[in-house]
Amino acid sequence: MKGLIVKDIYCLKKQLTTYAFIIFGVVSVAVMFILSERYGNLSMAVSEMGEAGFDISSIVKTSVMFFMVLPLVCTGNIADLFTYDKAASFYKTAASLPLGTEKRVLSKFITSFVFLAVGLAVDIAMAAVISAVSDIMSFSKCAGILVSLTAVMVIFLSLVITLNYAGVAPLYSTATPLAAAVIVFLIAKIKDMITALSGDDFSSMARFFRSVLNALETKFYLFAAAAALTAAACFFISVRLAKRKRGVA
Amino acid sequence: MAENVIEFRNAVKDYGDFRLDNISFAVPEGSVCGFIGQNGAGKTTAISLLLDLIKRDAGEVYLFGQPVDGKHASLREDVGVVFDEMGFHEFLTAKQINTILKNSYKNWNEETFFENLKKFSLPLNKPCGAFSRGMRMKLQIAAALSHNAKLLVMDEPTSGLDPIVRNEIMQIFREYEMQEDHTILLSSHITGDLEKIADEVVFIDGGRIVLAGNKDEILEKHALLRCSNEYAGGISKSVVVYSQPGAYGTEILVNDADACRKLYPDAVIENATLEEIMIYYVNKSKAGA
Repeated sequence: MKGLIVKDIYCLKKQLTTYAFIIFGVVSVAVMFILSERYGNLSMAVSEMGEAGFDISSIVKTSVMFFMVLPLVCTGNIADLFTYDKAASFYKTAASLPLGTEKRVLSKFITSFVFLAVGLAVDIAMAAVISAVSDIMSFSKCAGILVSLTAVMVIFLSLVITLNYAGVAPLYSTATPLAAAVIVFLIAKIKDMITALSGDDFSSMARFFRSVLNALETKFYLFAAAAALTAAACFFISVRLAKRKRGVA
Repeated sequence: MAENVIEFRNAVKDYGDFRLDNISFAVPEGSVCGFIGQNGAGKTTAISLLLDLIKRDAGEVYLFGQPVDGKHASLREDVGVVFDEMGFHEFLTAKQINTILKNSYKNWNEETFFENLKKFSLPLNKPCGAFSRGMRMKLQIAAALSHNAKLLVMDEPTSGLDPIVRNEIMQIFREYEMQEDHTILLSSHITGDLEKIADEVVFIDGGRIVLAGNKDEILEKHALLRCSNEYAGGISKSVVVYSQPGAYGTEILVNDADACRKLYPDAVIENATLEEIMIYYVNKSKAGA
């Protein structure tokens, strides 16, 4: 199994340059935010707009979180592994290795979660720095949001892997969970969104974003539980699908 | 008596438009089995069943005496496989492939792999996508020979290669089979290669086993009988596999060469090659279809 994980890492290594560029960009933006929040335009905006009744801190928090999502999201390009394997007809080689189907499927889950853990580690480091040197967000709140976002990514990756084993083309296997996530979000928050959009002032939108962030901050255990359940279910379904097909990478 | 390393018992795989139909044959330990048949005859499907790449619809397949049922993956520890396509990602180098396989096989021997690469003049740090077809095949063979495999399963390893490289590869197989417990299943439609190396021959056509047995016995039993068209009418149907009448006479593949030599002294009887045997059997099944 270790061999297949190594192979997957070699495959994803091709994307390391892009990933390093994104990390560099995200860190740069975070530094700019911190400096600006302390000494620059953001600091002025907070005091001026705060006087005018705007909830500028929610907007800043949302913006920071948006950038922090990027390292996690970029690790989610797991469908590429299936594309690479298919292009090389690697399923034949994989099936000739002394590894059962369970281990071959497990290796895909492990690789994707290892890459996700790298993204999470980058984000935690950033959260620690941001919370230490600025007043944008405390580390505990940041960590809550990160756990929730990681859980969402675990659900996303598990679904992508399962859809690939089901024979769905890599593009659609990525698009389908994304579409499902948007639909679930819309169903859950449609009322709040309509209220926010129909509000007269900017603060109603800010309130909406704050409510989303609050849910991510405080309900992280629900997200984590859902992720654990989905990952387990997806693993067993993937194994069944792979066993039915037999020759899978 | 040697045990069978591979055994197919009435194995069936139905794709709808193609059916591997009740195939049964065995490959004894220590032998080189040539698995011959034209393109699309069912060789790759049979090998896929053996390697558990596809699920069979009926029958049984045994590897080292254990059923191939998706539950005995560890058996593949002793199997080296060479496919007609390389099966490694084109951006991987031989060095990286070593790292992958080192972490996959318990018996992986890094030194043997690097020695094989050197012997086959394969570069260590060049992406294998840049390799020629011959080099890709050699890379697969190098990997297949580096984990003390007792069985080599090869699906058309020499097709599309020039005669020099083919000869080099056949030499590698000869060296491998010198060890008593080493067995080779070599699928090919290039019968000339198999004639040089095989002990056993399994001939498949249209998803059915047409002929299976010891190569020398098959070659001894079969012969090409040449005679006039009138004389051909008197040849017993029981010995005729297929006859091909022409303007100047008839060529007949017979399945009892010794009997024919005694019974038909006026006919010209020559030894048949595996290729001729294959062609006549294919023509027979086409004529029967």
